[in-house]
Amino acid sequence: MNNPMEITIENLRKAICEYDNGLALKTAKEVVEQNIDPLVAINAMTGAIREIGNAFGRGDLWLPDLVGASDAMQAALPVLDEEIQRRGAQRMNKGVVVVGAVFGDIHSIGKTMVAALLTASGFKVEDLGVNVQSKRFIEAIRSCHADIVAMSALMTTTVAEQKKVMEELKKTGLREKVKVMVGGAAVTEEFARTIGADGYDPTAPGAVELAMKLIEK
Amino acid sequence: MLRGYVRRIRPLDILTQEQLDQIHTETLEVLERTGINFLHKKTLELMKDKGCRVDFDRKRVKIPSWLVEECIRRVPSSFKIRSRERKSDLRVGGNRLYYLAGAGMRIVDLDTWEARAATLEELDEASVVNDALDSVHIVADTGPYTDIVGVPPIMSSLVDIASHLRNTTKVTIADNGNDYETFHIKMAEVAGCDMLAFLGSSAPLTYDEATCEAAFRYSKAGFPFFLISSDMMGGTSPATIAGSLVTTNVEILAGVVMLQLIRPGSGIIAGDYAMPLDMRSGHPSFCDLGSALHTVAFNQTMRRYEIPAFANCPGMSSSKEIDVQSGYERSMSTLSAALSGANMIVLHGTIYGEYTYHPVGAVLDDDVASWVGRLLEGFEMNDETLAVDLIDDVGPIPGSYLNTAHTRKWWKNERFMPKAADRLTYPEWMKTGKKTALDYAKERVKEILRTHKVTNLTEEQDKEIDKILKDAHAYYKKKGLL
Repeated sequence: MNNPMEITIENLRKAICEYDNGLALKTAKEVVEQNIDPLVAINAMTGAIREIGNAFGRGDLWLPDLVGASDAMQAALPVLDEEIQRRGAQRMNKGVVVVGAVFGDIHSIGKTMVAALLTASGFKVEDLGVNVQSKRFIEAIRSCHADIVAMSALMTTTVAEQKKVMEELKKTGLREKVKVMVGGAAVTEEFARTIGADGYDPTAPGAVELAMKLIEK
Repeated sequence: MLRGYVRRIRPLDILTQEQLDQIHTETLEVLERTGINFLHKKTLELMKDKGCRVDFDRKRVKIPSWLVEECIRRVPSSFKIRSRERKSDLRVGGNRLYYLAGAGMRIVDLDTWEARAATLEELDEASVVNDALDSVHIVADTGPYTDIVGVPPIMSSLVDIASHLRNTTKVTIADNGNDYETFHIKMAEVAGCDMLAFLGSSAPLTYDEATCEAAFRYSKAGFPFFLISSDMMGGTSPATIAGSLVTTNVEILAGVVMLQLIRPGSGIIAGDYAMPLDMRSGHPSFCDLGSALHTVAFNQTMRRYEIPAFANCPGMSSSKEIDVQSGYERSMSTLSAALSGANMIVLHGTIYGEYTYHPVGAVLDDDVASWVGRLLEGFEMNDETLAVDLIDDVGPIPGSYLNTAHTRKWWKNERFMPKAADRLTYPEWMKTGKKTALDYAKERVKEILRTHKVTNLTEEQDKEIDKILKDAHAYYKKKGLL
């Protein structure tokens, strides 16, 4: 294999497998410079991520590996997405997910893990961060044409905020257009049901499986 | 005052003096180089006023080393907490160990081990059991249950504390956030006691708005503090124990500085709740060896500062059932924390993490806690206990110690008699129908609930507590949180 384009694609796969953000970005730029179809580049990355995901499923790799690989892919995506747009093409993704920790909750690790795993599984993720007001959730769902909104709340007292977001979704007529999943240490299946959410999972890998199920509905 | 357990044996040290000093120096470096975020304007202004470098836009505070060391000095090496009865007062710190009964969200079914919401009656029963157990000295704010039938989530912490005040005289921890402080302080005034005010950092390196606000409010009320750092190793703190020891220490000392600047001389017990992140599920790894090592080093660090230390990990175990795994997880964690000088350990009643609780578990934990507490007290060594003259009198075979006054006087003192364990011979055990520790614990809970007398609040106090709960309910309804 000494075709320069093949080498570039192989380097992109390597960047994902070695969790190398710097190499991922550098190679993404080379993809554009060498006029390689950016969708081919993205396929190579998602292939690598899928292998890592399978290894995680077998118990051979762990969360740091999945999150590292996802971060590397995120480093390459903006450059490749820009090129895709310039060519007038479109990137296929499993769906668009808006992720955030509700207003009053600044705990980010759970949400960050879920965002990383969703990206690794082929979703387009808009991570709003922490302490997110209900109107910001609504704005993001609208502007991203989100398929799913994933909210997290660690503390019992902020669980009421998730209720608020649900009410805003109904008021703005968005409830029918988006699936709602909730999670976090303070959230229970019963609470999720009471507020009318479409799903709940207490773990990060479980959240991805739930998103896969919801996107098919 | 509750005696607790008085440690008479040398505490376990795993760090050399040089390592201990290095942890301190590296902590000072992080506090001064990286700093901590305090998401509260009043705290930022106070920190700036007292000599810190403050970036108000980023909400970042960099604390100079001299101020950190000055504030460590201001923390009393021990402090008092008044309960509503003198006999239940606490003196926290020094070489004394107390145990905190834990908190779980839900009650567990002892046959299926499945979790469900608790009833108000079960909430009260749990407090009565804790009142009866000698090795429980203090009870938790959000506990035992926060998922209670008919109680909206926002009210659960207030309902828990009301249940504590009604069913036990033992000190309770007070919660923070959502203006709980206002109602907890009122309840404490009615009951005529202090509470141990809970504050926690948010890892990494952050104190949120609600926590800082509570620091001011509880300082004004004169409550001492239970200040906790909950690092998830590999997630919100370094994956290494040494690195997480630094981040825990940084977060604790930043909290110490904040509290000592608000009210110099505030009593503080510093809590360690560092747990490795489970790299498959993203949940904490409960009762992990990593936590035990971290706790041992943390306790040694707090002893260096003469700040009372709290071990929060032992009572959170991984098994969903009361079984061999939960037994060894909880016992080994409790033992390592106690041997290294913890002044308080959370233990009784929790089953899985902070998710489930049962008073039968509290009864079994009572034996573990008492066993460990007794170990800390060592044994007496004097002429009488060395018994050399007696040894000479009894001589070799056929000599016997069984009929001596010495044995009659000393035997009970020199062992531990568990209250819910199987200590029968094999034929006796068969005759009982093969009773287990779990069976004895269930019986003990029934017995406690049948016979134990709680010192109740007066009718007047009880009515006042009810009124405070009603006011709180109306307050949260108005805020749209109900």
